[in-house]
Amino acid sequence: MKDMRYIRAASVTEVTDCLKKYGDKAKILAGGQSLVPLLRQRLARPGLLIDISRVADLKFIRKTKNTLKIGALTTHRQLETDPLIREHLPILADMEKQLASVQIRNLGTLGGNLCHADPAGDVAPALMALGAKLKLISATGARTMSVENFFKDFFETAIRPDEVLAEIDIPLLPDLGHAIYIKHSSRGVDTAIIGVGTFILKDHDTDTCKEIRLCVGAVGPVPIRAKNAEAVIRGKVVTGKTIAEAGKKAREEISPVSDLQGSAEYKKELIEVFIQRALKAASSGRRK
Amino acid sequence: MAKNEIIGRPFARVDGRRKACGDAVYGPDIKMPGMLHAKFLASPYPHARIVHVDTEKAEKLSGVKTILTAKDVPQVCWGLMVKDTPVLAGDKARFMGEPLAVVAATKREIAEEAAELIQVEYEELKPVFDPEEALGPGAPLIHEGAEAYACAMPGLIRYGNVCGQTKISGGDPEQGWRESDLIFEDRFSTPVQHHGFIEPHAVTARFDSNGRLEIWTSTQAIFAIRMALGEIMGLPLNRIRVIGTEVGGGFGGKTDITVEHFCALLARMTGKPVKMQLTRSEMMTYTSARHGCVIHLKTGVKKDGKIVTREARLLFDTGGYAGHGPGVAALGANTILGPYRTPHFKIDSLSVYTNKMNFSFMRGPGGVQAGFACESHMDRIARELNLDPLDFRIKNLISDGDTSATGQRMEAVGIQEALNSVAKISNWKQRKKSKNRGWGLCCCQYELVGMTSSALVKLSEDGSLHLVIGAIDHGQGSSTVLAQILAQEMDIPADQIAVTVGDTDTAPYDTGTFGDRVTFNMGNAVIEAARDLKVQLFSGAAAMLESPAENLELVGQMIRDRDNPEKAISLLELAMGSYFFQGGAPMGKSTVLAPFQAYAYEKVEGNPYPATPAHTYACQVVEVSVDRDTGMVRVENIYSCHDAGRMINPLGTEGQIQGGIMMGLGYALWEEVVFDGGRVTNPNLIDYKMPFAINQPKIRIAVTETKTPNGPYGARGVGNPPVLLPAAAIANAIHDAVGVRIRELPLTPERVLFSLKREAANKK
Repeated sequence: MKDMRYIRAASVTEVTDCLKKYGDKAKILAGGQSLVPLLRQRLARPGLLIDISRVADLKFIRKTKNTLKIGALTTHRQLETDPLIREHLPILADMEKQLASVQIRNLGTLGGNLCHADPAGDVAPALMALGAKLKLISATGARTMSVENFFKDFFETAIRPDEVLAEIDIPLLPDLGHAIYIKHSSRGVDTAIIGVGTFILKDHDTDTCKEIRLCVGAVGPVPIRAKNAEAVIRGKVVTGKTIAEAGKKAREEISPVSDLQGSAEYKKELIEVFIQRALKAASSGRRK
Repeated sequence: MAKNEIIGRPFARVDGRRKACGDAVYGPDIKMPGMLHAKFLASPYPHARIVHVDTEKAEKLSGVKTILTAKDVPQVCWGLMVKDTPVLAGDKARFMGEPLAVVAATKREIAEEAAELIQVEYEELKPVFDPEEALGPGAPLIHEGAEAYACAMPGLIRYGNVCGQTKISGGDPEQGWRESDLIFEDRFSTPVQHHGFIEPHAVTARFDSNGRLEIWTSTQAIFAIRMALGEIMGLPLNRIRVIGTEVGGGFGGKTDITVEHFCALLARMTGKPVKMQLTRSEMMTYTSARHGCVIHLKTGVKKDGKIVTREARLLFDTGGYAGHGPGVAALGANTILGPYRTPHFKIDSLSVYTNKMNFSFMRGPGGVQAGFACESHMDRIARELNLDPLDFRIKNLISDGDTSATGQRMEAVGIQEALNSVAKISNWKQRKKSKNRGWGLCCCQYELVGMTSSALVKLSEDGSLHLVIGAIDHGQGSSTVLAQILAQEMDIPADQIAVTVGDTDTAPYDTGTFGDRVTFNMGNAVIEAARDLKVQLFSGAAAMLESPAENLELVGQMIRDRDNPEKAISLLELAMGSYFFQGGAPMGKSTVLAPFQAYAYEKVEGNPYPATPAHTYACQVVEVSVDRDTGMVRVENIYSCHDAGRMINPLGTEGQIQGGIMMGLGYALWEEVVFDGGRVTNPNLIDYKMPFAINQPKIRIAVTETKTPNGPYGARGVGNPPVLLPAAAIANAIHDAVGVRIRELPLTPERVLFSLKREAANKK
């Protein structure tokens, strides 16, 4: 760590200029909840640390006509307690309550969490279920990418060394749309053994499922969608029988990987249980 | 204040304010001008011959002051029981994480980098990780030539990979099997538990210009540290001064030297103060976690539920070095019968070398493992006999006059009253059973440690009192309790007494803070010192008051003639008179070696410890709910009853019990240092799971007081039993809730779910 340089950036332009110059030698420091432990354990040894924690332009929660826009530096705690989030996307407040401790939520940021790409992260499956998009900015311009395409492997994302994650753009829930996040962890607010983000939209007249996304975290290198399970539900009325069938399908289609939180065999059992629980809660739960 | 009001009254901690306000000085707070920082290089292999160590590259790094390898340090083997531990691994490394070299540099980061630059050529050896395998024929020998090691304790049984073995037998087990109607057999296994103290091990050492070593360390036992340092450094003990800092949690893990000798050697080499502070990962791969253990139990009973006979075999995995392993195995042996009358028994408890880190003391050593096995086994027997687990235990409980496994005549047995009390507060007999919810019960009988404590009580010129001791208060509240005891003896408000925990130069000797011994034994020493002081005060006052000394009493800081109360003198006046005219500075002193009944050595073989001066008792009821789909266990309620002998400070007693229960809850449900071969895969507090505050269930505590004859006012320790109870109580409650008996800890959701699935498959 003794050879590491440190820059505190004041603006997004300063960040992207630095990234352009130093590329993958640099590492962005936001809330420090993932990076600082890695530095302390000498697992990350960047030549330059770009501290973006004071870049005011990256801290916001705004509502537009159809979306909520959230700055990447928004802390977990802000997301958990923000009135706009609670009104329009209560799934995120619920998800945050299950993420680590208040102390960590007060420091850790949404952008930092996503870019760290821990396969057991809670934010990603929830945002995937909501169909969120990420705005990445570099010195040469900006691009947008769905959360679903953002994760590439264990702790690896599609972000380029010259880019910074600036904004998360989340479509507002349609009427009759429900989204929930549930998770299982050994101590209640722990690293997930499994996490499931669910979005379901039912038809007003027929009560059949028009749209569904079942996004499962902590079962492999990246959060994934249980597409065969979705297919069981899509176009049908959600019943105990379809829920049970969807659970079985999810269990068949996902091959979980063992980690320190749970073995692959255990996760396999949980996939079925939690897909069922998620569907039950999302299809009978409160509006939105 | 009237007599007898101080003992048993709630008292705020004497160290509370300075800790809450942040002016307490802990190990990591020590800083000195010119101080160097040290780091050790750890072996990356669990068992390997060290062929060559090359420090040249590391030495060239700017800021590096010195690097020591095995050839540069004293060629002594040290050890608490078996002298099997080199200062630095030289010929071979016996566990992954064992120090091979130490670096001192101007900055911690430089020392870290230098350690990485040391090049070592290894030749890997076949390792052994399982204590059962380590006993087998053809198992790699971890210490070649172990028979040549000296032993610090007499009578150790050692051979092959066994570094200690305690055998206890009584009655006639063969006859016992013949008399039994039913025989039950179980195998249990328990995980390695890390102490999880907040404060890391932190040591700073320096040599003064007279060649005297001064060392600041976060420790539970300053005199034990001094003795080990004397042996390693080749210094007489009067040339070593060990200064205990405030301790941010010890739990047995700061009883012995960890890196004190490294700092001392580096300080001697460099002539500078040297500091070393362990990282969490170093603590979890190098320091003395709780032994993992495999326990086989076989018990014969009569149909009516009377225990006839038991055979027990305990294998404690002690890792690459013996540490306290032989003693921990002995404590396991002493605990495995529980508080139950067992006419015939045969106990065999081994401490076995493997290629893991050196396991040693952690709160309730030996007893925690044995308690889980014994009480789970008892619960199973009760169920299969169709007896209520409470009734089954009551039928077999020991009482005063019975003989312990080790041949001691039991007295002040507190278990019956405690069990009645816990049954009452938990409403055991009327407990409601609903779906997937269950109740479990557990009892405990453990031993406390006596040994030597000394105290010094000084009357100052103004008549105020000062207690000086060498027993560290590592957070359990001993200094508060000792202030209360002195206050009681001297009839003075406790908040007017100052307690100083001195260092090895300034304080009289104490064996250390462990084994529930400080309140018990130092409590007695404080009483003795107070009485010694009173003799001096009465003799001085007798001359001044012209009353016979035996007529005098100390009341409300006045010494007066019992028959003639107007003949009185205040402590202040007496002090002034004594300091300036006659007698000098009054100073009460004492040293107490706890009295004990010896073990019956025709029954007990290989136990390295002196016999216990008193037993401790507790019992617990828990209510759990189990999620059958995920295996998640939720502890809904805990009812715990503990026999304190005599409570000195109810606040401290309850705090010790609450904290101990949480430590036991973590052991029951989550905590496990996970090994993949010899490598710890979770050496951090994210993946090693201790309970969070939100995981604390509702805990109801009752305290009974069965006065123990050897304790101060009848008191005995309460620190260890709370940790022994939750694992078996919860496992028994899970069985009650969902019908599966789990014999392996921790009771993780995964383990519970797969047990349920196996049980369902067996039924089909």
